[in-house]
Amino acid sequence: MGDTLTMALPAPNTATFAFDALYRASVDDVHAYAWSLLHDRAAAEDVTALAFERAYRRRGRYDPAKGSERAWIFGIARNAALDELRRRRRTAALMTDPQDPAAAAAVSRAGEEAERRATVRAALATLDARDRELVALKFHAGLSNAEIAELLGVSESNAGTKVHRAVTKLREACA
Amino acid sequence: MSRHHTDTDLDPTVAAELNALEAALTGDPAAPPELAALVASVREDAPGPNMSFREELDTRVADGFPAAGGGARTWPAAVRARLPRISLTPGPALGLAAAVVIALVVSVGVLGQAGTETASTTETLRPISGGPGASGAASATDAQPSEPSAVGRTEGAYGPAPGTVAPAPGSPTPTPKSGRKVQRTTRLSLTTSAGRLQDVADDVVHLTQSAGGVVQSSNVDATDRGGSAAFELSVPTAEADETIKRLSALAHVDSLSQATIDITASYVAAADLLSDTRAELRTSLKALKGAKTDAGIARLRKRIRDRRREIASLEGQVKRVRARADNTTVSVSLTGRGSSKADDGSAGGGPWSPGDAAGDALRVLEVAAGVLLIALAVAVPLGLILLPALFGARVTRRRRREHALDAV
Repeated sequence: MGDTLTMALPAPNTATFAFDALYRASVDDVHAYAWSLLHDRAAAEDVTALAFERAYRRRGRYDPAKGSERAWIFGIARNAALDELRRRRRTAALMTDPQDPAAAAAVSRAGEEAERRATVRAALATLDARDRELVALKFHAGLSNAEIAELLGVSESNAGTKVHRAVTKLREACA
Repeated sequence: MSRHHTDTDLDPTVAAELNALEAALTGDPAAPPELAALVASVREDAPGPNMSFREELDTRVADGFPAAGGGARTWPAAVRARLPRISLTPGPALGLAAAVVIALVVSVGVLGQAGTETASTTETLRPISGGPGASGAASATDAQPSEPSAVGRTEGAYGPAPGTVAPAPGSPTPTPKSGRKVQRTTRLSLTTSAGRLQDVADDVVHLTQSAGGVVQSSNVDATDRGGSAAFELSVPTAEADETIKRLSALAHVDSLSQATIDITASYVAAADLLSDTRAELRTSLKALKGAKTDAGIARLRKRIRDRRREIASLEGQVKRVRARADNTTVSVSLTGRGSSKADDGSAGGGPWSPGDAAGDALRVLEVAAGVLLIALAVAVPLGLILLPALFGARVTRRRRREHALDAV
């Protein structure tokens, strides 16, 4: 009888469970990455939602041999964010990055911590978009150089050099 | 995921600094404090998603991203608006569909043609001589156009055109009044399946012979996917109705037309002339018995020879005219349609056997292979065009995306 009940129960959807785990482990980082590229919280949320929806629809196509799940979701998020940037460029909806209210509130807070964040924010603003993206892929996504290389379509050493250069620029800007 | 991986091609200094960065990213206490602080500041700089957004996204993930409008929760229209439009332009899709349809139609047509060419035979049967009235019938046919003095009624023209309701097979023609000589002609158009064409053609010949008639001419052109046959029969008029009835039972009757020509006048004229000539002969013979002079005897003998020649000729003429009345000309046209494999039981093809099934299966495989071959012939060049186009589109899309970063 027990066997019959066990057989009658639907088999657990391992793909869904794996997707849930991926989602919970990376949703904040994907959002942070998208925000780093777009500097618009609403757009970052849209891109985040879109990235996970696309990943969910295409989860059957994920190939572990091509990289980690995390690199895969960030690749999807990158395409969505770049499409959003292209859409913005076509519509010229945003000529300048809006000031994020939460960040503005954080800056207004007194203290060394807030000052350091403001310095980092200013330093990030001096970087060009490609370097900002590399910082985001490294700091928020936590991707390895090999994964970043796969994402950008460059060699691993080239990716490492690019990351090093971007981080050096950031450190210099913060100094 | 190995976060401490560094490429061996990198400069040692760069590699060392990247290793330090990796240590800071993973929260390694051994990481340089300045780098750890930078990592923390950058990470804290990015705002987290709104709680309401996060809750909504959590729900959607838990629900498996239900389609918009399909469930209680629908995704904001703003997100839908940002979804890229599916670039399935109708042109290529329709072109592809048309190519597939054309490939199918062409393949079926080509295979059909190939099947037709497999068994095309033409057979011409010689007229069977020796039957009753054979020579007379042939002569009567020749004489038919020169029949200017048809006395009495003439039933005209051939009947219903193909496609109209054919008269009942074997329905007897109106019986001529007693003593009158009537020439009958019948045209019968039959249709059968391609596979039975030869059998029906053979049956036409056998039926004619069994009725005491002759096949004056025949032409059978049987192919695997159709064919036709034409017969010119001469059947004793007494057996004509029964023969036509039996011929009509051989296949589907498309049309049946019958005509009669009263040739009594021709017959009577020839018979009267024969009778007069015989009377003249008898008179000449009687006069010869009473002839006294050599000149008279010679003159009478010449007259007798002439009369005898005339009588022989007239007897042949009377015989021919009588034969036209005694024999009915039946023109049979037979058409075979459809595939020989499509015979059903009612058409005489016999029950469907395992052999038929194997043949059908082989045929299906042949057609499938042909369709596949032709589809490949269409698909390969199409693929040679489409694949580079798709690759180019992908490269272009990737470049445009990268350029989007440059524009920021």
